[in-house]
Amino acid sequence: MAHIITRRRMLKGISGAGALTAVNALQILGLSNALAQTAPASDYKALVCVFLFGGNDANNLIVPNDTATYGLYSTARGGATGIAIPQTELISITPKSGAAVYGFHPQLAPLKSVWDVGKLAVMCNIGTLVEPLSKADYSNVKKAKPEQLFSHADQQNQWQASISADFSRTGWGGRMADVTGKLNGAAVFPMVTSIAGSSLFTAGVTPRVVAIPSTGSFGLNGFNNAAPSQARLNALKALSNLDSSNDFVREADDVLAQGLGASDLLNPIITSTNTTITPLFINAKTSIGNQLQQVAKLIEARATIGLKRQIFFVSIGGFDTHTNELNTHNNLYGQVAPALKAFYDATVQMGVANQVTTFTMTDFGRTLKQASGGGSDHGWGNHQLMMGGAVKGGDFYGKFPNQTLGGPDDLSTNGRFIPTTSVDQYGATLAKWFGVAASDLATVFPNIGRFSNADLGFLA
Amino acid sequence: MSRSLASASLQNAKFVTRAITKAMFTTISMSLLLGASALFSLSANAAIVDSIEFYNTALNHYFRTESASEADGIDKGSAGPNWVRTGQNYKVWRTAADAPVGALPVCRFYSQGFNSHFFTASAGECNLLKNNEIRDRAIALAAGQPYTSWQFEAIVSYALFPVNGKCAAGTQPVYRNYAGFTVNHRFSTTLPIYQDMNDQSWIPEGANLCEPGTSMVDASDAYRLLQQATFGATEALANRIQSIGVTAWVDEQLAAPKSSYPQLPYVIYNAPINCVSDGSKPATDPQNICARDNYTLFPIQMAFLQNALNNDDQLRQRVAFALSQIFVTSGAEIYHPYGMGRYQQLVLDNALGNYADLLAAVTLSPAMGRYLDMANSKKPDVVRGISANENYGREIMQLFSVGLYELNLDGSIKRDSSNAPIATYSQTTVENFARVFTGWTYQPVGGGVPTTTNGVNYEFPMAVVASNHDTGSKTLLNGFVIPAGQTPDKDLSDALGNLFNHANTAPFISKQLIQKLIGGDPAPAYVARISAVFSDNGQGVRGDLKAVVRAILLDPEARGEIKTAAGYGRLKDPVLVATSLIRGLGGTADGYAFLRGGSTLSGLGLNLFNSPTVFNYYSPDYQISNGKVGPEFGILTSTTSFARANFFNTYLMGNAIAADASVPGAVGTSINWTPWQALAATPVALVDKLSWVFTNGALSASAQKKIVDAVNMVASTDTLTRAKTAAYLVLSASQVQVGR
Repeated sequence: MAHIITRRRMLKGISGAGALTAVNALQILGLSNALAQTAPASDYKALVCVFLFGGNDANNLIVPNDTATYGLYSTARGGATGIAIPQTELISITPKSGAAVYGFHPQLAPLKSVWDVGKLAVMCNIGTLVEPLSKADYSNVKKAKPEQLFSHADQQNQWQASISADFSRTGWGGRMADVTGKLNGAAVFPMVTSIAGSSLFTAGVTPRVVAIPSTGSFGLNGFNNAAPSQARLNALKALSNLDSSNDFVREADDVLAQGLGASDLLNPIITSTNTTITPLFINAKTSIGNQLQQVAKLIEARATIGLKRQIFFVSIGGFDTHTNELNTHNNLYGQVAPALKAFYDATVQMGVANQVTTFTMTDFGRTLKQASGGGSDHGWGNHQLMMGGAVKGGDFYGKFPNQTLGGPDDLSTNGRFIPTTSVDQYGATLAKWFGVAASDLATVFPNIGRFSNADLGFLA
Repeated sequence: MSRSLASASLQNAKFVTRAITKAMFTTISMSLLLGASALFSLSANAAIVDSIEFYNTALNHYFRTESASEADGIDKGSAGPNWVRTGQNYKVWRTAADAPVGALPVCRFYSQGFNSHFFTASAGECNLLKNNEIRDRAIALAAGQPYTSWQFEAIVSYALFPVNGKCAAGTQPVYRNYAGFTVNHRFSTTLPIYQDMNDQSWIPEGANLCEPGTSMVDASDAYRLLQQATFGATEALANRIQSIGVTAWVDEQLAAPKSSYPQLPYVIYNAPINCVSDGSKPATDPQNICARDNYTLFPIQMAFLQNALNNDDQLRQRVAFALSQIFVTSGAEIYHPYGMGRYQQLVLDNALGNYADLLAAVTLSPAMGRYLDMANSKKPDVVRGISANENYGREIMQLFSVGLYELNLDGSIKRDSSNAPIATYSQTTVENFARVFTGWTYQPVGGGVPTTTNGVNYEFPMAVVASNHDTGSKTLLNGFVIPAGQTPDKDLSDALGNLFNHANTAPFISKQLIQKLIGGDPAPAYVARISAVFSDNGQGVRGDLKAVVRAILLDPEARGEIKTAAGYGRLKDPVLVATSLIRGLGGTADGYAFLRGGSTLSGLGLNLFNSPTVFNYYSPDYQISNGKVGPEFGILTSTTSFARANFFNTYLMGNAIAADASVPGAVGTSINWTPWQALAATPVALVDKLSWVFTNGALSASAQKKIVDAVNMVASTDTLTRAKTAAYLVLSASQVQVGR
């Protein structure tokens, strides 16, 4: 990723002059897409990444529900006085494949109906990998393993980069946008939208991301049509377009210019009260609910925006449950599940359920063994949720880990599971559905060739 | 030294005037292009600035200017071709207020005929030429000829005269040479130049000015230092730095009396029902006030902002704020203000002490104990299958001391023979440290020795219940082994010593302090210089933070040695954006509006003392799009970029905000616009002065011009809107938001 070209420098290259307004700048970017592309896509598709910051302990999100396996789970978690979810509280689910039965955490009740109609699926024991790795491989120094396992910052980055052997400056969301930008024709609005600030996931070689707030307006306040006010506004815009020899000044200017280029289009959409999807979020008046509602509003306005492919990033934090895990999960799952349900319902109501796929990511899994204080420590392999009309749901994918401490999936004795599916495979499956050409797959997922299967089959 | 010599050269010049031919008028006139506005702005600036020398290779003329924007213009050709900087700059006082008592104004004259400038601090010479101008203009007018001789332009600086042939201590002589053949003077402060000019037949006229010596601080660096070491520059502090020098000012700051936070009393963990925030009641309802003041960080955030805005120990506070972003605790869990107040006091107390003491105090603080789960972590329970909690054991290494990878002294990562980075520790090391940190709990309410694990009490440091401590041996970093059977206290001090003495700790902590005070992408050699001070303060003491901070600020890189490098500087964080606004413009603020008003720190991406995780609001490794490290950009998005401009809209374009009645002693938020309105008639001066206070004079001439043009669109009678418009645009400019 050596050739990151800032928009400003690229524009200088295109125009040969510096007198561009910020809005012009983005239009030229759009036009440059148009010049380079083939035909734009005819259909609309969106991917929505829900990042659970802190390392969600999905050991308690998806629990084995047959007596024997539940027993192993419960023992590892200290039983009723520990951090095991009582079996009677689980929401029973039976995946279409296989014979095993499982239970959702009780706070996932709002999503049970989505599971039942086959639009929610579970990816089992997935994690960061450089190459497939068995338990025997883990202690083999010649086998490559992800850098800095169990470190929040590093594992977040590796989930978002789909690169685990080295530092990366781009994420797989941003790189997907790099190779599918052409599907958007001449549309100018940045195709990657974060409602959760900046993230590695959204960073591409070419910047295509705009960050919008989860509530409130998106633009400059305090201007009117009087000449002095317009002069001040124009001066502000002109100041952000003065080139500077200082990298940080230029970066700050670029960030403002990105906003200025998008706010006229976006602000009316996200501040609109004339939307039919707001009532669906009545039980999701939380940060994650607000973020997903913004995504729904933007999808609702897709004809106005004109993009055919969009990638969204939303997040919720607080999952680093070293202690007090049961209460924390009740609170957090109690926010996530209603928000996901409201968002799914919104996509159904808008008639785009089959065109919007939502998926979770998180730093890492956590130890199955209990840590002092009623929590769990940093682990590795973990379960994720995939939701949407295109998801072949009501089913589990991958391999559920053996719940025995020190067992075949545990790298040691604390229940840190060695992943049996890689982030690369998960991303590649989503990318293929999104429209990433087979020939571009290795650009987005440089290590995908090390894994036998680039399509895990959970999307139709 | 004789003033008669100077007069003689002027007489010569005057003599030559009569020989002017019409052909000379074709040369480009410098002063006509520069205009009066560039000169006027001189008087609005503060203190000591560079007098920048230019040489015209075609005319064989020297010229000096004290205006950076005039110099910029000359670089761009505004004075015609062939002007180059000589690099022979010296310091001058810009205004009488900046200069010592007795300083005299330096008059600048221009002659169109000679296309030459002349400078003098002699009242006699100045008056002579002024009187000549009056007389000869009248003669020229009567004869129907253009006036081309010396015309007065402005007072451009102030200088002292030598007394008995000597310049006063701290000042230096300025020598003057004159060349009649080109009608030009050269002013210089070095004897070799003076002699060299003499060799070229420029008549030596002696030293007839004294200007501030090279040891004196220029205005640009004074304001730069204030961006690095305070919560916002003021003209008074810049003057103070210039009057006593950088080193003395830093030492004065290091010795300043310490600020403090209110020490609120213990409250029970769960708020009583009449102290729970209730959205159905107005904010002023006693129940909501109770919740705000006892179960949110509001009182501590207010205290922080008031200290930052008003107190003299600016540097200690800046360092403490930096350290609070390394040793992070957060209101996400520590939302009892009596707990966070004690934690921030601890950081403030130790900010200029020894890192080892800080690490120990942080480790045993109940706030950190709660935040990273060391409190009530017990030895492994084999029967019930419970591990020692790993949270603190991991993060004290990853974030508070040694970091993930082995480091060189300059902060770069060490690599093995296959070029792979070398990890500092393994999961096994984490598990061993986790066992060190077992057995500690909160003191009982009221304080005392715990006999069992206690519920949260932030009033006192944690204490140990020995029976909950893992007494097995532990293998720590670099193979250091804690033997079995030690006391919990001995285990703790051994483990903290293992971290303190690890080679990584010096570069790991030193680099982050540089990043939070100076800039995100320091040169490796700079990091190495500071790491060396961390390792040994010169008296054999390791971890002396006062010495580290002093070295950081006095380092050439901090003092502008590479100020024009593309990667130099730091995006001002939201707290600095807010506090520097009030401090720089002059005004009154209690902090309330920044926390609960229409435009808040939170909206700018930094909810004070409420970092989303222990990894701080932004990563020290965050890279901007071209790969340069700019940590604060981690929270600069299109959303927060708008929020910055809108923050300035709220507090600058809007009206004063009244004091909130529910806060005792509240004063609201207001700016004293009067002194800025006084400059509104001359927008150039207004913008120039703002650019000094909010950058170190780094706002480019083209940016200043755009702002001036916008200010000129406001009716000259509306001085308030003029002042506000100028402030809004100056503060919003990225050139100002990036301190360098």
